[in-house]
Amino acid sequence: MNGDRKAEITLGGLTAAFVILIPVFLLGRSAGDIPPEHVPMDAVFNTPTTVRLSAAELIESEGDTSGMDCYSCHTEGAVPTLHKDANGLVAASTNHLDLVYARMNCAGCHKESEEVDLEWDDNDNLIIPPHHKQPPMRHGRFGRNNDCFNCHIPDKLNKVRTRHGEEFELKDSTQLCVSCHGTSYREWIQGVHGRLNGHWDRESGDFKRQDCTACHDPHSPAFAAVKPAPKPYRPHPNSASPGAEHP
Amino acid sequence: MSAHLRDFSRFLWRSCRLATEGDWRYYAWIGLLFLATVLGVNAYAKQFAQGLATSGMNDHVAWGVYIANFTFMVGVADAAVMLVIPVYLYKREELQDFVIFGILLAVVAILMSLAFVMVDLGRPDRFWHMIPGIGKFNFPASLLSWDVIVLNGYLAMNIYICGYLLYRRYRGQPPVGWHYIPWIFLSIFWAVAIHTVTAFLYVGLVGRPFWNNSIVGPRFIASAFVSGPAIVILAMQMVRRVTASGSATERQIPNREAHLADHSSRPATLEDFKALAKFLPELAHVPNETLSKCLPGSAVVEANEGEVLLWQGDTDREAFFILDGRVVVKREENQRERVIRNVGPGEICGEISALTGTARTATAVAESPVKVIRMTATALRRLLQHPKMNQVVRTRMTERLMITDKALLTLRSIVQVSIVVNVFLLMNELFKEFYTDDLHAASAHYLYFGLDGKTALVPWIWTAVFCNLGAMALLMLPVSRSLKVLDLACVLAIVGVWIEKGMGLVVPGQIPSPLGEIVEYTPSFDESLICIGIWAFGLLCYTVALRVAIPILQGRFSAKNGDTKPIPTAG
Amino acid sequence: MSNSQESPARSSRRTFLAKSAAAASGLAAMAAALAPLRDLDDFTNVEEFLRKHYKELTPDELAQRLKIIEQKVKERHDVEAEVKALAPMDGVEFVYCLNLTRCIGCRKCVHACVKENNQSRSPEVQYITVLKMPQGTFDLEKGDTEYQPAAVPEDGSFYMPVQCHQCRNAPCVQVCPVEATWQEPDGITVVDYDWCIGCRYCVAACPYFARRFNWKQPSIPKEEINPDMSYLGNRPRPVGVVEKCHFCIQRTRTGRYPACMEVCPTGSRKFGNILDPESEVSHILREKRVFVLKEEAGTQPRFYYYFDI
Repeated sequence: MNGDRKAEITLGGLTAAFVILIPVFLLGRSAGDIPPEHVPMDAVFNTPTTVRLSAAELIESEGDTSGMDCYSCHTEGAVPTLHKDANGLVAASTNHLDLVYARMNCAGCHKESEEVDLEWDDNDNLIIPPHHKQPPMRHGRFGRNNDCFNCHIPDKLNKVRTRHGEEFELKDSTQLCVSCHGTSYREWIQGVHGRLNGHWDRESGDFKRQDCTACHDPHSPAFAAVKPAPKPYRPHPNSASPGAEHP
Repeated sequence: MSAHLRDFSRFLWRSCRLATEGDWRYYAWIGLLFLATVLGVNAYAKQFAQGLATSGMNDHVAWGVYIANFTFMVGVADAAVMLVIPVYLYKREELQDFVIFGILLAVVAILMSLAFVMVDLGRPDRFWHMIPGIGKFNFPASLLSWDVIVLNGYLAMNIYICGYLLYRRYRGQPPVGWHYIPWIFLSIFWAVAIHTVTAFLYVGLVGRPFWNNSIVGPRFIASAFVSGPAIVILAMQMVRRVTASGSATERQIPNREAHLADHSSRPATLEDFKALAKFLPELAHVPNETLSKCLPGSAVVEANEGEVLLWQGDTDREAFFILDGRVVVKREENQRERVIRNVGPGEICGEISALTGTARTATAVAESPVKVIRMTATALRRLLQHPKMNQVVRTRMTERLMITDKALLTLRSIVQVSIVVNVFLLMNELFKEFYTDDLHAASAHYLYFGLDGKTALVPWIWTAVFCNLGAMALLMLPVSRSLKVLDLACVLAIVGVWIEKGMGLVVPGQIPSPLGEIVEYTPSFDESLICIGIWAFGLLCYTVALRVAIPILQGRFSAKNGDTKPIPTAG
Repeated sequence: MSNSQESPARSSRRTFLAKSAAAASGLAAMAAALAPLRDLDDFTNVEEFLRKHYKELTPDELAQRLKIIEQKVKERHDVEAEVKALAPMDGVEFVYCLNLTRCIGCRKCVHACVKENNQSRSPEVQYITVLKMPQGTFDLEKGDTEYQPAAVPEDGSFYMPVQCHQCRNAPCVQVCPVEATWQEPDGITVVDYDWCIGCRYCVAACPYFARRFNWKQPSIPKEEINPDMSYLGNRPRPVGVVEKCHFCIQRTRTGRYPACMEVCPTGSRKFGNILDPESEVSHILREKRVFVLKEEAGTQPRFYYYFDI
């Protein structure tokens, strides 16, 4: 075979290859190696409306908790499952432990200036009524602050008092906390302790310093553990969390 | 001016025509490269339309094979300077013709590195933001803006130098020194600058301890001195092979019996020199007294097609000026012979042996019936006493295309030294990382041994280590004076440097991430296709450039010579 | 070199035809290879192609750009947005402080930020990374960003959220080849999404893993678009550009707190004007023992960590 012939065959082969490629390009997938779409997991509890309401807020709203958005966790229309304890009482789910209204809204059950019958056991310890057993008393480290009446006044449930006998309305409970937690209070005043919402520039608009009970359950002030929001999604096959594991 | 422009556009047109001529192997090679380029373009079109999500890169490893190849190609562009330095600073003339090939390689390498940067951009439509004066140029703060300047400057400089040298040669004019020598010297400085600046892209990042390491710059230069000349060695071997006229059995050199001595000659006269001056204008400046002194050793000889004027290996001392017809100069090496020149009226052959007293380096055969002036060494020396003639003859001597084994071995010694320096610098780095074993050694741990069970790069880097050590061992041993072994050593060195300086530097620098996360990276299929496409495009450019440059250097393709047919090769 | 049966002219004509066919089919294949560009939607047009850098826009041009962006948001997301270009306030330099004693690693800040700043949901773009650190070390490589237990905080760990540190000596600003990112007088490092070329040099330069690249066209559900937008802040980003935390510029330049701080349930996050001695951050810098991450990098962050006790 001579050189020209070979050249012609080569060129013919190339022409064929190019012609075959044309429909491949035109009809082939054009998306490329793109990782699959992923449906982001909805992060629950990420609006400021879903945090605790403070005692002051509850009292002002007369127990109205509509500011809280149940449906940031629950599916609208679906009935939540109820868990009951041995006494047949509804046990608040652990996810509700940080919700003040589940336990703290006295006005929801008690009328104002209602007389409460207190019962004592043989050892002179107060018998805590079943309704009040839910919030375990965990204020302070060694259980030294577990007596309800360190702060409550037996015959004035709408008031609280410091250990020195100074009395405050329930909505001013922050002053009660201050009587022991001076350092935190100073920082709270400076804005260093606790949540702040609104405007950093006080001249531009409102600014809200949250009350102690807006974040802390006074009976168990340490924060309850919460479910974390979804972890980052790593679609690439080599990444630390393969996409397949993502719910 | 317009005549110049017309000549130049004719040169470009003829070059394009020449680039489409070749035998079936040439077509197959060009065609396959074009095919790969088209596949790369298709993959890039996908990336352009869909975004860089088509690549394997991610938030943690935001630079991948594109930038790795970019870094490697900038190193290859350094190759030109490796060849320029010995020629212009140390007068190593055996590398003279290599300079053009080296500079062409540099041009192609820069084009490729610019292409790698372009495909890496998330918004290639906004590339103009990087153009100084038009966009907004963060100079001198951003090293990337430095890179834009040095890379484009280097590109322009090298296009000018090789374009100038080739075009002058095409027009049969010797190059004017001050038109290109200053640029050559600037490009030596500049070549170091492009690679140092590219190294500083990495070194300047405080958040990446693996890169933020002062040894990266010197290592870049050392490894460029390895990979650049190694690529030139391989490319030149390819050129030798392709331009070789077939195997020994097919050679067309006539038998020794047809020696010129059998033919009649007559003493030369002044009229013969006048006739020669028509083709060699410089000769007209030589006064008759000088010419008369040359007459005793000069004779006019006529030879028929296929007859041999001089034989490779012989030790006669005569030079030949062509008066009429054409002469092919061929060299036999490694059982192959290559056409190294094709000389016509006004040109000289055989002057090297005549002037240096060495054995003939090639055989000269009459391509057509020829008429030549044969001069003895003494007569030629008398003629060269005239400065004009001296300049002409000496310049042509050094402009010859001569890919000799000696030249390849000179390159070998460059690679030899550089690879030792490179391995030494690598050991320095390894000592610093692993002896202290501080937190910053995490990337090196990941690269060499894997981290937290993630080992994607480990096989790669050990391949590179063995390639580098193997290449170094071969190069240090005398065995690599054999070109086959030298080729093997060069391939090992190139692969070693490509891995070590590309993926082996760019990727582990980002693993673990600045927050200690280990997210690995593997290029996607489309990403690899784009890289292959750019490589194919680069090889295509280099092939076409050589396709035009070689006939020019051989004297087959010139303004005087309309013949654009390729050198016949074995079919 | 031709066969004896045919003339050289005929042979060379045939070779020429073969060459022409190969060349033509090659060029056709090249044109067909560009077919994926069909999927380009509104990638660029002449007006978009030639638009200017944010700092070079005249007030009129800027107003016009804002209108165009609002229009585009309407087209793409069917949302009436208000896009503003807020100027920095005089005498303000923003600083962020984060209390590592208080942070419980709930990642509320991460997701509040995503919603506030119209970040892409798929692919996911998040400005804040929360590291779960084992106690007793600050070696970031021992940290875990993908913890997902039933409840946080977990025993034996502390949590460290990291986002843009708005460095005074910012490597990202230094390396950008086209000045598409810069530091504003109030200390916020911003990105002009219409100028960024997507080279990701800033991503490589950032020691805090704070910059994110849009690997593909961002997608956000229509009902989750935050219509309160700003040019240098949370307006929707195009594909192929880099974005980052900008201290919620659309909120903070109107005097409000950033979204991550608003949502933090434990009050771990503090934000304010360091030039105001009565601001929370000034109190913290004066009274707490603060530190910055990777101080040895010399970046001088405006983001401080501290402990309560």
